[in-house]
Amino acid sequence: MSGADVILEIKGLKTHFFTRRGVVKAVDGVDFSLRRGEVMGLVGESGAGKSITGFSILRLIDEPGRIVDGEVIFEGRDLLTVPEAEMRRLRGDRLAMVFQDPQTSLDPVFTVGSQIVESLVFHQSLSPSQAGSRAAELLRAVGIPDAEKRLAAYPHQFSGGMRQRVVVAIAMAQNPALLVADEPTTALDVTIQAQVLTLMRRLVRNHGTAMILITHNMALVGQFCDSIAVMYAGQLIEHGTKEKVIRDPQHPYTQGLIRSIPGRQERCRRLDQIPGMMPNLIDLPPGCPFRPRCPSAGGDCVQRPLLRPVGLDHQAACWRRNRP
Amino acid sequence: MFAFILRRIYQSVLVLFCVSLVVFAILYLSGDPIQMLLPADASQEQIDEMRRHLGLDEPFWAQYLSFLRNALQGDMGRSFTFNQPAVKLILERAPATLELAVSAMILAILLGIPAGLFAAVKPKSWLTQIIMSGSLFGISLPVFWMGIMLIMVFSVFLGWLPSSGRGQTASFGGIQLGFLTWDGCKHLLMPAFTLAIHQVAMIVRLVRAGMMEVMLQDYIKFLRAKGLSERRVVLVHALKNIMIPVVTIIGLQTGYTIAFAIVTESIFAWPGMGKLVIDAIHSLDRPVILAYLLVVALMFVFINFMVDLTYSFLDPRIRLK
Repeated sequence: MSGADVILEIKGLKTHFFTRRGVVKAVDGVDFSLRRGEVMGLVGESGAGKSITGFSILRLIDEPGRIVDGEVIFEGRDLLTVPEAEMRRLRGDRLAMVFQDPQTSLDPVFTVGSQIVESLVFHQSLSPSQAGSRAAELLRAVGIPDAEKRLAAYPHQFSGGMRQRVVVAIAMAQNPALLVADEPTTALDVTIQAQVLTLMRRLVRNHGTAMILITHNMALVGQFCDSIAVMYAGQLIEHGTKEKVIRDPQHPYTQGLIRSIPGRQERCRRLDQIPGMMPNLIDLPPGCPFRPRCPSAGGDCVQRPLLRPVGLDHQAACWRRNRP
Repeated sequence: MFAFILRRIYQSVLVLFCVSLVVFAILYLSGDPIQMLLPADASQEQIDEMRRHLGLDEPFWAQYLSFLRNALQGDMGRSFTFNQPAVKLILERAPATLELAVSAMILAILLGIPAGLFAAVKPKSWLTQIIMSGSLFGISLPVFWMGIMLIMVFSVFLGWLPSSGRGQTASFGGIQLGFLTWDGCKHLLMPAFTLAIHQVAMIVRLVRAGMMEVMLQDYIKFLRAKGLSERRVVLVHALKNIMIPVVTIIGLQTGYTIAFAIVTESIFAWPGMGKLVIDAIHSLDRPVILAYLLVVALMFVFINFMVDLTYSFLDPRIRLK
């Protein structure tokens, strides 16, 4: 996974939350890189640090969280060192984000049009009328009928799927180089999910935008992504092309995740589960974080395994790879 | 919209009718004004004559109906003590009270909203500590004490501001207003500030609580992800989202400051309605009390109507029906 057209490279990213009960190491040493136009699925269960990783890239971590270490090299610059004003210029322009719940990600008391226009005016210094017609164009591009009229409507006058289309339109307004989509379809009806994701994939393909699709839905990842990164307890434990990770998962956790996808062939079978729960991120024990739940854990697992190559375009963080 | 206004007018009339009935009944029960109006050694004939003259010899319902009949024509009766139309007395002094109350509310909004915003956005700043403890004082300290302290400091010790009266006024559309002249402004400053303190404290706390909640919302994060400046996120988006409760409180409190300007008016010898009404209550001057309460009730009704109109303007999800 290297090459000249790498647009994002994350090295040793650590984002910790300094709570009263202790330090929550939500993201604790994550490395990966992304090529231009690549769609990467970032999967893992709730609390694994997927969203925090996404927010860290845009530096949108709220108190008491802080990015304590690492580099986020985007188009040749370390985003963690650029000044806030420059960062603001990048957000919504080269870097964009789509959130989980379209019900809450638009400001309820402003029209949809004004919310699209304001970022156009900020990033492109368009005049209000130019921005207005560009906004209508953007809405048409995400498949909203009657776009001119809908600009004057408020978010509550849209359905959930339509609202997420508006959010996508805002995110894609400046043809960003990277789109971070934080569970963009989790809050939508199943029938709408595929529509919105297909739309997003078409848009990022057309614009050469790289996308990080954060989700806990393995099936979705298999359908829409080029590569897959699996997170567990704040760490990346497996990363590779879609085919490699799904056909030949190396980490016991990934294997468990894939086994727990309901399959078509074996009806009436009890779904496989991964026993136990993800450990508390405060006072994480040393060594492999998956050790307590791992069916094949052994003595060497008290040392923390690092992500290392296990094949072409495939990495895993497990001492006992190939020996599940 | 038109139907909404019509229904509000209908409701307002009902409210005013109820207020008038309740107040009239309470006044009827609360004593005999004749004893206040005539000297203690008046003869029984004089008393009867006076009672007949004022219409107080009739039964309660008859008195109320005749009051209602006159009131519908804009006549609330003549003041027993001043022998002038009660409405005229009230309306002569209403501008002074309204000027005081409105200035106090404007002051409260101008101080309270920025202070509340600051306290929410910079919770760890030393200024926030001062704002929040100050607002606690503002809510706790009694108005009359604050007024007296202000007079002591700014009039007695420093001699900067006059301690009583309204000063010079200028006429604007036939209404005497103090803030149009420099002298009037100087007279207005302290009473308005005294009346505003409590409201500032309330608005600060409301704005801060609302902001702290709104700032955690996803759409705030999404606005930041669009690259908007923190100033635009806070002052345009977050602020508009918290305005509904703030406008509600501002509306209610405007009514209260009009009604309860009495204390402040007494301290600063402000020639408003408050003083007139206190005197009227002492002398059981029924027409004046009635006229005052109806005027205040009317203002409450009007302010709440304005608040409702503002709602639909602030939040598209609220429709006036």
